[in-house]
Amino acid sequence: MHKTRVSFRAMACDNVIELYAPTAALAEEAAKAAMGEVKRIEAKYSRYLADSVVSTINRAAGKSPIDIDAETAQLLSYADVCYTQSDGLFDITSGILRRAWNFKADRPPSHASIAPLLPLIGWQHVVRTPTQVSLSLEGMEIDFGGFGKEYAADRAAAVLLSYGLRHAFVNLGGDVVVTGPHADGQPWQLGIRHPRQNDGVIATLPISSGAIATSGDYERYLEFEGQRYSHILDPRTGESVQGFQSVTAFAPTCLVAGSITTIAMLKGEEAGRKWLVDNDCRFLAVGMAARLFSSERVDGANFAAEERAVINLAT
Amino acid sequence: MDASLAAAAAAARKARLAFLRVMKKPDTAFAALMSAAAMLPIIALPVSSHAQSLEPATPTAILPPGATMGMRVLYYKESGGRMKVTEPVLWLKTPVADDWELSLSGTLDIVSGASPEIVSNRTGKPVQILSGASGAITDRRTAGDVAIKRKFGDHTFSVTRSMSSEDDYTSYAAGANATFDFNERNTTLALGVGKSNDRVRSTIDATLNAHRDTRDYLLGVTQILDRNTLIQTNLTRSIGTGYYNDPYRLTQSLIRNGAFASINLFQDVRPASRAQWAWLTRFKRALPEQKAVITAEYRYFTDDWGIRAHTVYGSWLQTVNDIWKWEIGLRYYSQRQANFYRPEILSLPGPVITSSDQRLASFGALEPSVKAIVQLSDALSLDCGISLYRQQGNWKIGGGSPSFQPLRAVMVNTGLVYRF
Repeated sequence: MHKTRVSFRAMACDNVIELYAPTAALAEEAAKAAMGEVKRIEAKYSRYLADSVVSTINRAAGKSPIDIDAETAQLLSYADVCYTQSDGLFDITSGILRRAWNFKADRPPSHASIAPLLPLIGWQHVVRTPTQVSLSLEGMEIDFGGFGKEYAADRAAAVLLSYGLRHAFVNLGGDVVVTGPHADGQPWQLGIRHPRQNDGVIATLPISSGAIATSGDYERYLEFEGQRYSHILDPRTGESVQGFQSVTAFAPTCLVAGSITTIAMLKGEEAGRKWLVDNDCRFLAVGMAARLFSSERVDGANFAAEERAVINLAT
Repeated sequence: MDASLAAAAAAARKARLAFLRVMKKPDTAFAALMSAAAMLPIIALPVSSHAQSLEPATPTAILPPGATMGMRVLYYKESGGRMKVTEPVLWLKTPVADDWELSLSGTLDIVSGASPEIVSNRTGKPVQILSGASGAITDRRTAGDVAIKRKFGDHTFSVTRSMSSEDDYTSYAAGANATFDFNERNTTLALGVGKSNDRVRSTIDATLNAHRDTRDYLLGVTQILDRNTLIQTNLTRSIGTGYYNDPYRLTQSLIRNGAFASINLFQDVRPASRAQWAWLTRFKRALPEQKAVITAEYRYFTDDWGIRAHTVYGSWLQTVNDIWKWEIGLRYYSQRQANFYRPEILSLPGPVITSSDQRLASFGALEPSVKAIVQLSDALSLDCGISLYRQQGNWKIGGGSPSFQPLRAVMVNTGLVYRF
């Protein structure tokens, strides 16, 4: 088996694909195709690119419906399920809050600067048919940032599987999909970042198949008067949610794993933990007091299960 | 690209399975997200953290599927340095062809304890005198048995052969058993016959070489009452002739005759035949809501030596999860003595048939037990049980033999079962 490792930048992240293939030529071709798929999704859905589908939809807000293809319609349907399953917390129209939130500033935004944005947030204002979408309010926006990278990781894995590669590892900035173990059958070892130490690892998880995603309050945040204000924003209030330092979830697809971490982060520590457990999720979470919680079904991880909890990360 | 197409197909199959597994619980957010994700052109991969074998599983099993094998170690220890038994057992049960099944087992017993035994009344009341280190012996018993079972539709027929050997005892036994299922398999009738030809020798009496021959008969009915309940009743008859004496046992009696006293030794002499009846009834009920199974048992035993015995047993088996089970049980035993049981002999001439063996006395016994069962993997399970056994004269219903010396013992039973 020929092993190949490619790293590349896309979606504002450092990404890695590792794979084993019968020949070097096939390895290169498959890795290239997977990379191409990631870049295709970035180009199609990035809100930073003026000709992306998302930018086109946003420009037409309050004006006219936009024709969409099946893939976009399916992703919007997925966004709808995220919205209902999170009781409205996971809302892809909430990205507009970044107009008020500047994480490079030295303090959180005032309520006065958030308030005018709140009426523009609301998934219920998105009108969909299988072939068209329109945003009813002028100035409102949708944003696939909540699941675009996870979807790209799943698609990259699907491309690798279409080449028959059962021993591949896709890591798009921490969103990981594994099509199968190393060529010798051993699981890949994945370090989960310590939420308070840049280079620290809180747990090393073996994974031989499936997907892992992590969401943390360390990705973008500002600190003011000893309080951390992270990019996890409640769409109802526009305020930063205090709670988990990070949530890692395991699922058969990265899309679902990522949605689980986002919803849990938005719910906050107490409600989030209950939601994770009640909804049968596999997770590893770091709480506010740096306590580590996990579902009992995280096998092979080098920490204790929930309630038996608890490793103090502060030390 | 055939291989990769096959791999992609395999991945797609796995993906469907992963979705199906999730769909079992459609009321969770996880399941809702998974079914929404299933609409997208992505592949669900079963989440696993284990090392995986790369090739399709090759048949590495040395026995066919359905075979089981295991080992078991029984440990029994009486308090006060009396008898101690360690008994490892290896066993195997395997289908050998359509409708045929073979069972094999091998046992090694290591018995150490104080024997021979003397019961003496020199201190005023009959007491068993442990003959101490000089008499402490270690005995090894090896035993093996083989059974072949043939299935004929709803009926089975099996033959068994077993042998057991130790320094002073050899036994050869053979049997035949049949079961008949009828009444839509809700009723099973079991019939069995067996015979055993034994040789009794003695390490202290080279001339002893006697036989004991036994025949056994079994009639049993198992009735399924409903989905969760069954009742089983077995009647066994055993008829034996030959040497039943204990060549290592003496009764030492101080007999007073006016101012004189004489010490007399009596050999253990028992009848040259024994006919027994045992009737066992067992009730089992599964309690699905509690994830438990309760068992209740009653056994009545009687023989022509005068022994009447009652055993009552109850247990609760609790399933905790896919891995753990535990069981607690309590057994009560009550026995009326053999009519020739005499711990002391107070006049001469002594009786022709007499034994001071406590096992033939009137007594009661209690045996509480706990057991844990762990499913270590799909194939392997481990169980470990501990029970405490105590015999006391006054625990017999209506009171037992006055000179009965209480016996305490602990039993540990550990087993490993592997399923192919």
